Amino acid sequence: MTSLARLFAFAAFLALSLSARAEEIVVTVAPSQIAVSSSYSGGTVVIFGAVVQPPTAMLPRTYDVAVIVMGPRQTVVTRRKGRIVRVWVNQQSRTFYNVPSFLGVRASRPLNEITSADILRRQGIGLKNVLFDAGVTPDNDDPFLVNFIDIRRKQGLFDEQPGGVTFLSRTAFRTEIPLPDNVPIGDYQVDLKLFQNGEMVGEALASFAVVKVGVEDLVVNSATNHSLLYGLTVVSMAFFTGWLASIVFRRD
Amino acid sequence: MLIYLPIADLAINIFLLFAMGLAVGFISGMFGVGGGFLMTPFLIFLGISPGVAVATVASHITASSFSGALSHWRRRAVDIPMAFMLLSGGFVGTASGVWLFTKLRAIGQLDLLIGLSYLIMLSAVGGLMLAESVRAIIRARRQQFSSLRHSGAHTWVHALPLKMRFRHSKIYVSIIPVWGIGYVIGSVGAVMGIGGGFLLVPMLIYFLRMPTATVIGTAAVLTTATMAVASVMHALTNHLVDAVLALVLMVGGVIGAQFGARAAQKMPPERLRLLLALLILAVGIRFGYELMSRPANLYSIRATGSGTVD
Repeated sequence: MTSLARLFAFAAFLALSLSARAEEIVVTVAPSQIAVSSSYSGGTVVIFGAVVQPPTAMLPRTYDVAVIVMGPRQTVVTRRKGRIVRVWVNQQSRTFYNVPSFLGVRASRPLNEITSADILRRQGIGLKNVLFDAGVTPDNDDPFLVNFIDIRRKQGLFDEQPGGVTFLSRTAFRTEIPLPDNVPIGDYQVDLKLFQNGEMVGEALASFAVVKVGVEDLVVNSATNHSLLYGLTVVSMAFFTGWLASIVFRRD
Repeated sequence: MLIYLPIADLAINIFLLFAMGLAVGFISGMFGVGGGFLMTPFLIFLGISPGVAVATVASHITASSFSGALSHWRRRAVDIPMAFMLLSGGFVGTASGVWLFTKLRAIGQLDLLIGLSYLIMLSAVGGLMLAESVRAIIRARRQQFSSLRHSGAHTWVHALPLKMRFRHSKIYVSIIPVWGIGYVIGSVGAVMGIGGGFLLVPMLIYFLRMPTATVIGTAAVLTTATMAVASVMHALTNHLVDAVLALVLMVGGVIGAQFGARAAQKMPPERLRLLLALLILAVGIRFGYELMSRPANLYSIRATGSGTVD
């Protein structure tokens, strides 16, 4: 229901802003909040966008779009196992500071067809370019970086799909970003970049949030903020369950 | 039906978890052990991080061992002074175990410590039990008396000072090995996510010569207390106890334990010990294999900052 209402609001906004200047983009994200409850096993956000063209523009224009979705930033240690005697042990490690915990990249075409590698890097478009933006040295051969990205991909947390953006009309487009069950909690940033003939001609920002609700929120909140009380509650729960079982199944 | 585990941060089928609780509970009731040495590896296998698995299983064992302790209590099969003496060592052990756990987690060697402890403890105990139970079965075949406890026999343990009389168990023994055993069980339990029942029972029998009548009940009391303390400490220091996961496992565990205890009564004790020994050895070998075979991915990652997902 809410996403439908948002669409209507979006359509109204679209009609109103038709008089605005060229290459302005309007964007909306639905839903604006993903609720992680006990039944949560993954979700999807849909991103709608449209280019607002001046009415005088007679020539048909063709656009390219790149969408970057970033989860809350975190510090990640990547470790490599080596062999000591006969046992595999974590040895070398490399720390990546301030990297997004979730990263989704979508585009209307393969990125290298949209624009030059230089612009992609400067604008932070593509998995490695976003990480570069986060202060990670862009060494393509660094095995720690390669494997970090690889593990995050397998977890469904890093996801790059050129061609994931579909145009609904010449100027309106949509894309979907699936969120896995292990989705990080926090605020997500959606960065939408518009290209025409290899030039970046517009940009728009939006956001959504992933929040734990209900029992999940209560559990996490009390585990972090009231840890003694939480620990004691879990133990009382254990004692109660154990006592109940010994009563219910009493044989003597 | 998937259920989202708020601390483990992933969704797992609730019936699978419940069935695991039942199965491990059955085994724990059958052999009079907590079953942590099976549950923790199971959870890790399901994709739950070793930290969350160890911390959560501590509360699961609290429930199943408390249920066992209550039944033994009603049958007056608990040596209370002995339990207190073991506990005073056990609490110190638990605290140092949780401290070690936290330190190693920070430097990325927790998985190694858990793996190595499992390999060494399980192969050693499994091997010893296997040898002992095979001998017992052979003795039984030859129609001889099998006695674990030679009441007259004295070992070096009995030469230690600070002796104390435990009337219920009818033993007169130094409290130094009693504290030592408590300490070892407490620390090993906190690090490995096990109650240590499978270690404690043989230790009490072989080192202290406690009679079988009181040993299981006393062990259950000690396990309950050390695991309850370990749960609270893990919750305080590492925030890794998953209450939802714990509850599902607990309910399955205590029910399974009751059926396991009934099944055990239909089997000769030396055969039970043989089965348990094989089970322990199998888990130990599995850990050894894991440590020594080349991992599918040499790399692993762990988020340390905000927005943690691992």
